[in-house]
Amino acid sequence: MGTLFKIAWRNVWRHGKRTLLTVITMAFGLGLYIAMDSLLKGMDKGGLKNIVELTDSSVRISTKDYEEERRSSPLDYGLTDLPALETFILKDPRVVAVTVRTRFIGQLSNGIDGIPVSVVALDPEKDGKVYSLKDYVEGSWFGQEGGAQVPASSTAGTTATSATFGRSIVLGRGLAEDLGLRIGDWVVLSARTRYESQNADDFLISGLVDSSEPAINASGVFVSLADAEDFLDLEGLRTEMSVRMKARTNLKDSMAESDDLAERIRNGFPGLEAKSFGEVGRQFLEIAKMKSKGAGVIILVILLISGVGIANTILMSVYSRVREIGVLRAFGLKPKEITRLFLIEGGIIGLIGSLGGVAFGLLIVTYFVKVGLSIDFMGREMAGGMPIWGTLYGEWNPGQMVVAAIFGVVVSLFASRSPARKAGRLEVTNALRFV
Amino acid sequence: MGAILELEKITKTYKKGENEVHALAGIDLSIDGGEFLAIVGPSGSGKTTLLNIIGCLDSPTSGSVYYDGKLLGGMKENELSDYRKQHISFIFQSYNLIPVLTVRENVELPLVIDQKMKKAEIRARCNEVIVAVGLKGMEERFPRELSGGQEQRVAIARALVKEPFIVLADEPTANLDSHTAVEIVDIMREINRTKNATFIFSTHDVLVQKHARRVLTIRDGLVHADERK
Repeated sequence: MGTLFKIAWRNVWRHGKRTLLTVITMAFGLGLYIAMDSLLKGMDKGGLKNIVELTDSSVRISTKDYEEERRSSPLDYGLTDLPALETFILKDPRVVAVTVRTRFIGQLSNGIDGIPVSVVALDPEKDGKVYSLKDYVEGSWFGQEGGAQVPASSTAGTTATSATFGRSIVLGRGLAEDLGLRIGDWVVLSARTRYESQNADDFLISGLVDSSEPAINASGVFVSLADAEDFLDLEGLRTEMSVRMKARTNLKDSMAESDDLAERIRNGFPGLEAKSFGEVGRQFLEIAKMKSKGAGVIILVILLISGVGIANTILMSVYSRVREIGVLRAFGLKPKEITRLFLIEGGIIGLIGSLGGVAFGLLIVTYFVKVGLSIDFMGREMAGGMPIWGTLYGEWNPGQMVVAAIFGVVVSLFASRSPARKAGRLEVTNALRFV
Repeated sequence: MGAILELEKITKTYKKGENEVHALAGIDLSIDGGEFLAIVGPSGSGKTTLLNIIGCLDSPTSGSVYYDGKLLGGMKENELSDYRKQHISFIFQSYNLIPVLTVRENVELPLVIDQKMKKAEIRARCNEVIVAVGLKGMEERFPRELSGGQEQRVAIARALVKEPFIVLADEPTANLDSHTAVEIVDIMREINRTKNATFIFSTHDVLVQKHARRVLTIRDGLVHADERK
């Protein structure tokens, strides 16, 4: 075996350029796979973070009737006995904060164009303890300082504020761009009140949200519950309650705890529906898994091309060494051992390619983890299908790297199998006569 | 010494398209241990085919081959490999050294394949034959760094490294100049004499034939003459 390995190893480098080309193709394919896997993992992590921090919180509670008609955001099904519910939830030591929201459908107009929008009325103070929207606001978060830096060219910093002019509104940056609006501009928001009468009023744009959640950037509209109260005749109607639980490093723990709290809420308040992060997160991961399969197919194609390259390299090696095979057979090597010799060569190429791929992948993943990949260049339309926006960070996935390396070697061995068997089947006398 | 190889009514027929070529047409031959036998004859007379059959690289169409009284017919591919590994060595016209192995590694190859000796024993045996063929000091060179004569010496050393053995050489001096050819034959004869190794080689070279103690002439696949000196 040692001699076979020695012969195989030296033969691999006998045609260095050919081997190197095959190894590079393979390393490139595997490195790309590892990098893509890291990005997909990062995307999953970012998407899950968005669910908790920007869209659904740890547990989102509403009435069962409201949940059924949630798409139309009706003002007919408010949460009842909010203090009792809040007390019940806050008793749980895993809970950090709760907040309430009221969703409604409206029409946003810049005076020329109008767009139907889903508006969230929230308590700016309490909402900031459950959601992280405030951290992504450029301008003012309903009278408070936003988390994002205001560019010098922005109109933010004008003296116009809701305190001086009345109602204020925070819009997703994409939505504002679509309507040609900037901070400090006025928009008209119209909506049906709780009693079905139409109301419209001017709102001052106090801030723009440019978050890691593309849907919020594209269509998010936020007003304060204080402004919505008389605008929609809410009379204290709150359609949703959101709960933020303590962060856990383990995703499964985090999901399980949210599942548990949601279950307890459903049992304690039979008329309510509680959607846990676990439930929403698992649905998200299922969809993400399906999307990542497409990426897997691309990588599979690259690896198959590498496999063809390896098969070709080994086949050329067999043809260029027919007499050598004859000599080895003449001195007593069995057909099986000749086959093994060429399989070892394929395995060596596969192993070097795989290790090269892992090294290449490590380099890219290090960059993605530390610096990230800005997906702004894709434009908001193209990024619409992505679960996150802004900078996409990679995630370390050592297990997948090992799997990729093993897969690379297996592909190489499989690709070498046919030419190696061909070498083993050569007739000794024909091989020795081969010119 | 008695016969170590006996061939009875050996025929070999190749099919070339629809035609049949009778390379060997019924050879009877007995070879004693320690012989230094040259097989001569015109091109296409069947010399190489006969050597291939003796060396178990090819099987006869009919007839029987006995090695040390044992019938070799009907052996499977792996058994033939084992037989070659244990009893036969080859020297080829084009040397056929493994280009990625050094002189030492090429010479060690048959013993390494055989897997019966320890590393130190292999090394000692290898040094011995390298000295015998006059290649001391060249052990770490690769075949590309050697002349044709040196390559053939390596091939001889490789063939001689395992004992006991029958050495089959197909035109071993065909690619060498006459001076080197005589040198190579001298080495073969010396080893034949000192180690009592059986040498069976085919040749066209009259000079080489002169050194043989037995000359077998083949024509049209039949033994035309069998001259012992």
